[in-house]
Amino acid sequence: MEESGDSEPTPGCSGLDSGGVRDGGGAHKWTPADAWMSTHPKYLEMMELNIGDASQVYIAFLVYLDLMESKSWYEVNCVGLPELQLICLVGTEIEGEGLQTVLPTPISASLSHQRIRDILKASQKLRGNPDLPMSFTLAIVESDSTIVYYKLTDGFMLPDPQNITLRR
Amino acid sequence: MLVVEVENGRSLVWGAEAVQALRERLGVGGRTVGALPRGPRQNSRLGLPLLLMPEEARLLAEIGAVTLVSVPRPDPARHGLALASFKRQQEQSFQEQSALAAEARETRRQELLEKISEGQAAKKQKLEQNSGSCESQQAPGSQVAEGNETGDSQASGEQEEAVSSSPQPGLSDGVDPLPRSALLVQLATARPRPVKAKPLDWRVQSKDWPHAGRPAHELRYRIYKDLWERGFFLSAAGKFGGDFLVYPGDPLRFHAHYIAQCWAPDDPIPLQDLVSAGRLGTSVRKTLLLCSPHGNGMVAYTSLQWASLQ
Repeated sequence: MEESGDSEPTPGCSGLDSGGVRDGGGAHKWTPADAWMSTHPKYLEMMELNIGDASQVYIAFLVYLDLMESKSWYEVNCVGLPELQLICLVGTEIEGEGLQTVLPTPISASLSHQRIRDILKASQKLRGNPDLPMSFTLAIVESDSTIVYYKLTDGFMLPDPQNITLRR
Repeated sequence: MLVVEVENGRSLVWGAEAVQALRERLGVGGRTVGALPRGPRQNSRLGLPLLLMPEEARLLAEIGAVTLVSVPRPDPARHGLALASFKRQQEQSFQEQSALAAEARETRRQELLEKISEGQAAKKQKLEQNSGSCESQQAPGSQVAEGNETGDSQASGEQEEAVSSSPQPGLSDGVDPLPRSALLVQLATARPRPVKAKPLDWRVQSKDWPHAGRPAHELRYRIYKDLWERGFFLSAAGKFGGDFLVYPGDPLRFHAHYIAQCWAPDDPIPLQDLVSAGRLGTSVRKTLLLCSPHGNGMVAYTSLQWASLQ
C-alpha cells in the first residue's frame, strides 16, 4: 500500500508542499499572490523587510497568525535582522509582560550552535533588557503548517520541576 | 596512585577501593560492566570492573589522580607454557585433594567401625535364622532381611559397601576417593602475581589509546572537563541519545537535569534532530543542553526546552 502511494502523484501536493517550505529556502513556485494573505498588512510589512525569499516570509506569517489567532498573544511585531538574514517576531504574550523573540524556521533548516548564539545576542538587543538571560523561541514550521515551539536560553535552565513526582 | 588499565581504547578499574575513591572523592562514576560471580546470566546488576569513558580516564590522568597503564598482553608463544603450568598445578592440586579425601574416608570408616560390625553380626544372625525356617516361611523372611538392610544403609552410607565387599580393612583401595568432577578449583579474583604494566600516554595515539587527536574525542573532552569542573556528575547518555547525562550530584541520589549534546560551533544541527532531542528531553523531564567550545577556552551552553505556548 505504501509503495503504491509513494509512486503516485499525491493530490493536494501541488499547493503548500511544492512551495518554498519543503525546498528549505530554494526557489519557490507558489506565492500567496491570489490568496487573501497577500493583502494582509502584516504580510506586506514582512515582504517590505526585504529579507529572504517568499517562503521565509510565508513561514513567518504563519507563525504570526498562530501567535495572534491561536495563542492569542497581546501584540506581535515583525523585525528584520539583515546581518543574520532572518525575520524575527517580537511580541508580548500578555499585556504588560516583557518582550519575547520568536524565530520562525522551516523544519528542513539547520542551525549551527554558533548561529544560535548569534541569534541569542540579537534577540537580547531586540528585547531591550540586558538583565534578562539571553533567550528566544524557535518556531519550527512543518509543511502542513503545524508549528512546534522550543525555547532556547543561554546557560543552564533547570527542567520544569512542577511535574517531578517524588518517589516514596 | 590509582591504576586504570587500558586496552583497545577501553579503560577499566579493577579495584573496589579505587572505584569508591573515584566516585566519592573525584565525582567520576564510570559504569560497572563485569558479571557478578553468582549471577552471570543477568545484566541488571553488574560488578567490577568499572569501565570509564575515554573522557573520564583522560581527565583523571590529566589531574594526576590515576595512572593509565597498558594491559600487558600475553605472549602467544608462551600460551603452551602457561597451559602446561596450569595443568601441572591442577594435577598437583588433584593429588593433594585425593590424598585428603582418602584420609577423610578412612577416618570416617574408623568412626563407624563399631556400627559396621554390629550390622554384620545382625545380618549373620538373620541369615542363620532364615536358613533354620526357610522351608516353612521363605518369603516373609527374605522381606525382613531386605527391610533391615535398607535400614542399615540409611544409618551409615559406608555400610552397604562394607557389607557387599569382604570384611577386610583395605577395602577402599578399589574405590576412587575423589572423582575428577569433584575437584575444587580456586578462581582468582585478583592477579595471583603482580605483572609489570607499561604506563600509557594519553597524549599520543596508540593501539590502546586511539582517542588522542580524534575530533569527536577532543570536542567531548573539552565539554566533559568544563562540566566536571563546574561540579556536575556526568555519565554516558546513550540511552537518551546524547553525549552526557548531567547530574547535580551522585546519580544514586539525583535525577539527571540535563542531556548534554556536544557540537562543534559551526556544525549544522538539523532542526529535526533538535526537535526529537527536545521532545525526548521534555518527556523525561530533562533539559537538552547544547554545548560547544569557544575559542577562548570557554564552553557555551544553550538550554533547549519545549515552550508550552497556550
